[in-house]
Amino acid sequence: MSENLVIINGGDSEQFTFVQMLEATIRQGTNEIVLRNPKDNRSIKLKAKIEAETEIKPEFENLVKVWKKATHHYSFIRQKIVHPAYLRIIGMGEKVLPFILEELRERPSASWFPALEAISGNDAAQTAKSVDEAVQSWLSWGKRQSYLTV
Amino acid sequence: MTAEEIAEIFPNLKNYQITSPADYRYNCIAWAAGDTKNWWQPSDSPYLFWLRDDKSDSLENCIEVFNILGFNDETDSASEPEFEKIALYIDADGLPSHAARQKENGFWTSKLGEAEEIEHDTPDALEGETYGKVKIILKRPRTKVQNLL
Repeated sequence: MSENLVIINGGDSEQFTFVQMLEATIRQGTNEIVLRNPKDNRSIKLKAKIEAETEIKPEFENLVKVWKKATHHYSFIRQKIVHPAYLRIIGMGEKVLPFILEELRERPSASWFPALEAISGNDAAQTAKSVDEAVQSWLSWGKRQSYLTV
Repeated sequence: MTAEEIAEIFPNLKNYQITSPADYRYNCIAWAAGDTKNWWQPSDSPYLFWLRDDKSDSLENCIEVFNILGFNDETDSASEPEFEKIALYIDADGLPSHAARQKENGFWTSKLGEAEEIEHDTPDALEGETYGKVKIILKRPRTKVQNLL
């Protein structure tokens, strides 16, 4: 990857190539670096993303597996959202939002809306007229908030 | 759901067949009402469908909804081809938990939440810890339009 990226760190910014930026990140040992590609303005938090992929994602996927097996056959959302695994997912907080949204995109379910509302404090689907519309509303919200890539 | 999972969740379910794949868009109440496009549940959320303004989570509310659809007479599970029947279940807390519909061939059909639809021989085959018990069975005259479901 050879596009130039801008590192935003505490208000200062320097322009590096992607590879140089990575090296700079490790040497500096900073905790919060936002990478932004000026070409399309996409941005990610590098260190947070590494942590999410190696720690949060496996835990989330395991909880989803347990939760779905126990509740997939229920017809009332109240029955699904009281399961301990679901509550644990909510307890993981904002860091789990990208994974919930990816799960919602790949395997839609109305059961995810309470978790998304609880974690984000938003109700992106307040005008949706169907589950499909609510799914799209949340996915659009996720993209606007940069929790989901385009 | 696998056969093993179904056996574990519904230990009384012996004779059944899966009749459609999993679908997140509609649930058991919707399927009992003949709708495969909406998730039926009393809720203030606009994306969940309910026929009444009353959004209370109660068996009575479910009964009223099916009354609106013409299921007004309480009955038993015996097959009467001239009637279409629905069975409403309640869980251990007395809350609605499931709905099943009897087909013209006498077998019952249920949507297992977001999972598959199954055809089963009796409504009590799904009774147990998961869905609770059948609380009431209602019927309405079967018409040609309904038979298209």
